[in-house]
Amino acid sequence: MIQAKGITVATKWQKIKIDLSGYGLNSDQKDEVADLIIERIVNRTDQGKDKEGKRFPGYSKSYKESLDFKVAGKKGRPVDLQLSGDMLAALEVLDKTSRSVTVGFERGSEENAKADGNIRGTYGKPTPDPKKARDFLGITETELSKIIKFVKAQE
Amino acid sequence: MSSQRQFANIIKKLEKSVEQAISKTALKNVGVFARDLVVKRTRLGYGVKNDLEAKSRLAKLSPNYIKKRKMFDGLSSNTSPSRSNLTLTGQMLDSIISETKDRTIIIKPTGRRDDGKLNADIARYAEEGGRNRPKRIFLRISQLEFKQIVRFYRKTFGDLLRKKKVI
Repeated sequence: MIQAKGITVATKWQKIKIDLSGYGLNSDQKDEVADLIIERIVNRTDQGKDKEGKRFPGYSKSYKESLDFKVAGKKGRPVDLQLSGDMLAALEVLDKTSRSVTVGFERGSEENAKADGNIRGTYGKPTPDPKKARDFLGITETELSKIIKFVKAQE
Repeated sequence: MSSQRQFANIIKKLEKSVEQAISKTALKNVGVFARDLVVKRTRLGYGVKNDLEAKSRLAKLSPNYIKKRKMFDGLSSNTSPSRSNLTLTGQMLDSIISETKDRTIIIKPTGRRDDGKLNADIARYAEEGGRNRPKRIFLRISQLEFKQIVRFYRKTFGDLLRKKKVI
């Protein structure tokens, strides 16, 4: 839960489960794939693109004029979801099974709340706004195939 | 207490994380990156009480000090009268540099200010606190900053550079 101006907002635990069955990966390779999935998500976000490769909606005028925006040395573009950089740094492997890996944020953490605000477009408000949403948490089939091919080629 | 911070243990931990010794050039770049993280986080109003712990908000300013800041002509554009971010004129945070010596990164305020005081003394004054003045400890690296440093190293000098084509 996060609280803003007297409103209590329920945050959603932000995580994605990626099915790795059928690729014939061993345990170390799954670790490597999970690591590269996280790096792909962070790199793509650095470039201002969402999980489908589309540009994120621009920052609001009020945010661009804020003191936080200025002192963090940010510019209007790219929209990279990084002020302190802590949210993306908190992205981690949450679980690994024989069939899948789950990456996301620690449940109930400040970074999960920030991620949830971006992903659903809530930003501390009770109702999500899809127009403001910046869903960065995901990986396309193409990206995943490329990563798996790379990891298997290291054998 | 010294106003400079030596980050030898951070380097050891970084080397353990990336499983390789870090070159002098890489160490220098890591130092600059770490310095920028510390300055930015402090300007955003957060401190870190112990290395590799979570950051937390710096203690609020007293109402009297806020009044003084409102009247002060030289207030930095990187703060506001009520913002607690160790910035009045901005000289202390601007003066912070990173140095590398042996296997250690040193992050420290340097030089003398317009008022003749040493920036190092201003930093120490903030970190030590006083009878009616809370400690504002900021020359540390948080856990998530350490993760950013690891990633910066891996991306710039390490294995992620070699994996650039897939990520």
